[in-house]
Amino acid sequence: MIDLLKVENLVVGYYEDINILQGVSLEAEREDITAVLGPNGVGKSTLLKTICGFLTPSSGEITFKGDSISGIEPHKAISKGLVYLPQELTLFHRMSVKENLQLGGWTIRGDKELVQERIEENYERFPILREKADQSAGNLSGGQQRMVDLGRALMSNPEMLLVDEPTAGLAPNLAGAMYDRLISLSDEQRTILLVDQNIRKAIEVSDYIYALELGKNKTQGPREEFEDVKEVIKDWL
Amino acid sequence: MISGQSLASLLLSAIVRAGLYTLTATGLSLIFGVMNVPNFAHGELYMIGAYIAVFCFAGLNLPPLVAILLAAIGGFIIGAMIEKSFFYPLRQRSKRRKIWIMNTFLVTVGLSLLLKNVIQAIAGTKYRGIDSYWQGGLEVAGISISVDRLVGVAIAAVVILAFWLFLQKTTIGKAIRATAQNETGAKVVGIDLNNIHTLTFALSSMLASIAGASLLSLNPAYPTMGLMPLFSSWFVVILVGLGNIAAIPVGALIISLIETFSAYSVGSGWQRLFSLGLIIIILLFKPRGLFGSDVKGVWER
Repeated sequence: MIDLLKVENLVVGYYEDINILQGVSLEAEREDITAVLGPNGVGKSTLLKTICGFLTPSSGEITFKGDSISGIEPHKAISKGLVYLPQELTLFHRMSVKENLQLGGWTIRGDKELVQERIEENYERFPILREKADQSAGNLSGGQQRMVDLGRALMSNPEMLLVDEPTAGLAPNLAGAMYDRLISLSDEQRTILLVDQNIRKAIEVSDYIYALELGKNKTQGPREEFEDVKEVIKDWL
Repeated sequence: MISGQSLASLLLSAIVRAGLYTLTATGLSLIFGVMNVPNFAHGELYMIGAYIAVFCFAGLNLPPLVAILLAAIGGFIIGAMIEKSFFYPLRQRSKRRKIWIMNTFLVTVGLSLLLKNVIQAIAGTKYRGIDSYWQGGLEVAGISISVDRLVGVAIAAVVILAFWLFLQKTTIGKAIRATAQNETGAKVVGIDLNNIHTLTFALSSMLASIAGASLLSLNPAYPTMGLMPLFSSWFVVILVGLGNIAAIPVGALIISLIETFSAYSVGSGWQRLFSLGLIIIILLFKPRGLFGSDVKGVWER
């Protein structure tokens, strides 16, 4: 199996000489859910932001489908088939659900029929969004906003999703539904790189796991090796 | 007491002025909402529009609408050039968002001086006005209205309506609004912010140029003519809340009514006092502007 995404020795910081990531490497296989775990502040979100171009690495290499994408401009990542879902919701609050979805199809805006088709797909996926199509995204509940966020990300039909804390701030039942959604996305032949604080649940849904510690790789392995979750958590506390 | 006739003609002046302020304040608000730039060079685009129009109409003898159209195109191009040569490089090098607003504020003040002096060097300090684009006027119930004023109001109304439809209905217009509402979200869906910034600045400059060009017979072109509409546009934008574009026509009408009537009853030169006084009172009680908009610059939410 060829790796879809490969990150080698990534060094990144917000300021000179203070590097959040100090040589992180990882690989994500096609159609897998790969999780990046670790305590607060080890650079999990920084890793995702760098892969999709929101931050520029000071050294290291990122390749996607064999092409180097280190330091790619953020708006170009999506046309490569890579879409980023930040932890904080980034919806256009004063636009309708439908407009949010339409803008998710920005890169395919030339093909109005395709945009409409993808919006329909999203309505099938999240029937509630059809009902709320003309409401402002800002007036939806937290769970529904997450659906719009995910739906918007799927408009470009990405091969890979970089998902940062998808269940932050969600009630447990909604969080469960979100994880089911991620699994079904991976069944749709999409690759997912997941960053999560909810270690137990993330291990449950993932195929392969990387653990980071203070900006470096700590350990990695397939799910089975991480199944003794309690041990992992205790290790970090 | 004000007679019925002068009341009507004052109202008419206020409406003409409101159209002007709507055009300039919309661009001001949009530039702040999308780019977080407090643009104090906006009045100079109004001035440039007036100069282009007077050159085309009086100098080249082009038809009025062509002169106004060329002023619009000129404003668009100059706006795009300003964005690409000043704000784009500044943005590339600004990592700290806190100082961005102060930096860009200073850049726009410098730009304003620069543009005024460039125009002064080219065209001198003389007033360059025209008697009218169109001859004649209408007489309605004893009040005479010049065709120029009517057309000026009509142009403002049509342009604002078209611009509003552009923002609401087209995908690019939506992308501009999306950038104002959530910059990260815009990047995530693949919108190239550099293009959006240039387009926003160019369109806003175009609106200001149209205002300067279409009211040329009322306000002749001279290098510092931009100051008055700049201040009044800021009053409008602050009054209705930064970034609240939909309410700008209402704010523009309030400000121009206050200015027109206070200039008439107290004396011209005093009108600023009244509009500023109103703004101070409103901000004391409603710091977010008259309509309590939650819209601010992109980086302040």
